Amino acid sequence: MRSSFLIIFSIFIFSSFSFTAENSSNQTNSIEKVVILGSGPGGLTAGIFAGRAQLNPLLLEGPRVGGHLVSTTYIENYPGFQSILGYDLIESIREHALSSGCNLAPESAIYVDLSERPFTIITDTDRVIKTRSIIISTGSVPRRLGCLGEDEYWGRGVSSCVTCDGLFYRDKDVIVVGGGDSAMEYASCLAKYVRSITILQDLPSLTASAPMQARIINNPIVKNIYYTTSINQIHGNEEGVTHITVVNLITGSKEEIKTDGIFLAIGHIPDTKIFKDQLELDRFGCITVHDSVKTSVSGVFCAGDVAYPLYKQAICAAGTGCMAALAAERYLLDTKQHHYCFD
Amino acid sequence: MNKKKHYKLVIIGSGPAGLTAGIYASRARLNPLIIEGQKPGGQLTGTTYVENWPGEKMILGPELMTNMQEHAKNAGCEFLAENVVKTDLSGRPFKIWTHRETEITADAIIIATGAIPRKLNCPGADTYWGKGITTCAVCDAAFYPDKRVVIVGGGDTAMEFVTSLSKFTDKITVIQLLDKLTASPAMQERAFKDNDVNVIYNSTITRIDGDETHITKISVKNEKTGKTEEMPVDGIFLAIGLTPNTEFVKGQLDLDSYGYIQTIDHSTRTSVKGIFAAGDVMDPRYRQAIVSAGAGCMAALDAERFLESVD
Repeated sequence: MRSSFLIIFSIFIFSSFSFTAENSSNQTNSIEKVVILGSGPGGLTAGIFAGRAQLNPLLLEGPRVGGHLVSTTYIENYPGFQSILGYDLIESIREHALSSGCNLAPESAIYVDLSERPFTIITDTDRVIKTRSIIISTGSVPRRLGCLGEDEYWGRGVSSCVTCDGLFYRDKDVIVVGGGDSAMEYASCLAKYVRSITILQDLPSLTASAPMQARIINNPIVKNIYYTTSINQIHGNEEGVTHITVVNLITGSKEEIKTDGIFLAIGHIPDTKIFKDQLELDRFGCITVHDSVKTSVSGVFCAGDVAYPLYKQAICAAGTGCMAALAAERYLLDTKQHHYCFD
Repeated sequence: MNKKKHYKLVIIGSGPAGLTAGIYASRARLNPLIIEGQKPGGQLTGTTYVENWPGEKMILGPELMTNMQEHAKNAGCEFLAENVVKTDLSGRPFKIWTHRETEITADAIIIATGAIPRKLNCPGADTYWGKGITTCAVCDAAFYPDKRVVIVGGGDTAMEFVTSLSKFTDKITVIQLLDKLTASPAMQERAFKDNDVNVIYNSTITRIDGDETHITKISVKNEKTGKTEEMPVDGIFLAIGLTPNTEFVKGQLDLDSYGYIQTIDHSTRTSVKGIFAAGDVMDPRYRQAIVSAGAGCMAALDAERFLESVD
């Protein structure tokens, strides 16, 4: 009698627990099927596909809601949209994710534990989330100059993406900041259509590979290369950037340079701090990919700039976001954690 | 025709991968030529509504592709409405020949020729393609809530389709040509465990009927008994395989055993320097327009880097 009561009681407990787990996604004691970190094109596309696959995904928007697109102006390279404001594009992808069944939360993950399953995530609102799989799409932050006027003119003459914004500077004078391979790539790309390029490097020499340097140094469009020089202030008007003040780091002397646009090629910092020591990262802090969107921990997937730093394009992030969602769905099926696999 | 022309970059194929590569390559001032191939616009031109192109909640497949074609044209792509039949990738510049015997040379090539889903060969199969007949459960399962669907095939893909479709309907029939399924036991178990699926063996679809706009019924013939039966049906999902379009590079590029182009290091580079691949022709797994477009962008950027390094 007593034991049968216990059995009935435990069935009751168990079934009420699994009821909670399956139906209420916002309780701390429920287990999510998939949590997506980041709300750029990678994260939101993962949300669209995971939503459509009925995984009821929870997406934590993170500290930079909408990702890089929000801080740009016109996007002319997202296929199907000839010219659209970055903000409008990400807003329509966000709407799309919502209507596909993706739950968005204005929170950021500040701690994760990937050593035990289900995985644990703690957010900046102290919410504890348990989840069977994670898609990391936290992106990267372009390294900034930190000088006066930079914030004011960001997206209005100051950019970190030539592929996105270069063509807006046809027949204009531009500055490239940096001396590595990406600075040289930026310059050789811009040299095809701008009037002049000035390169600013804070070190005594360029750090790019020799052939890349040679091509740039010999290019007639490259008007001047300043060494040991950094930008002190960016000036402009309602139209955008007009000139900059630079300072020679050795002599301290200052100079003004007229310019229409400034391209920063001083690196990106991937947002992976909370995964350090838990996931395999490369020496730059980017997630090491295994088999396209898998990480070193099974059940943890990645998409976008945080894993594919070479491309840094919205459409690439969206593509890998889709792959990560399909891979997570497959993982949940294979490990019998998909809701069709619960007994 | 028999004219010769040289391009820095030639893109073969005009689906989402080829057109996105074209948009990016044009913006990088590489003045690319897109050779459109047999099916301009790719597989999406044969679908109806697409609900998973991020940013477009619902758009007709052909309309999305028209937008992308316009986009690529305005970005500066040149188009050639011909079909590549032969290539010589043994040295640069690479050589390309089309079915009209146009000869083109290129410093770099992006191959985005896609894959062709194998189709049924019966009356009605062409008429109702995209009107109830599809090859993509990920894309179209949600259009069939509580509808009667038929999955053709008995391999892993067919089982995946059962799993995808079972989220929306419990009226699923699998029609298999052989006397047993060829899917792995694990896939079969997963597909059938919680789903009451009707499996018809030794059978083929011999006829598809509809009301002009959509299919309504099919005729199924048991090849063993010779008996034919009619079945009311709302949707047919074909899982009888795809064939990547790589005939024109066979023996010159590393392909996998199914003929898909193999790429290196999570990039779009292939076994031949200067040749890049994007989209379904190198991706047997995901087969989504957005994934192809992403890969097309990567291929253009990879090609741009390559061309910079050899200039």
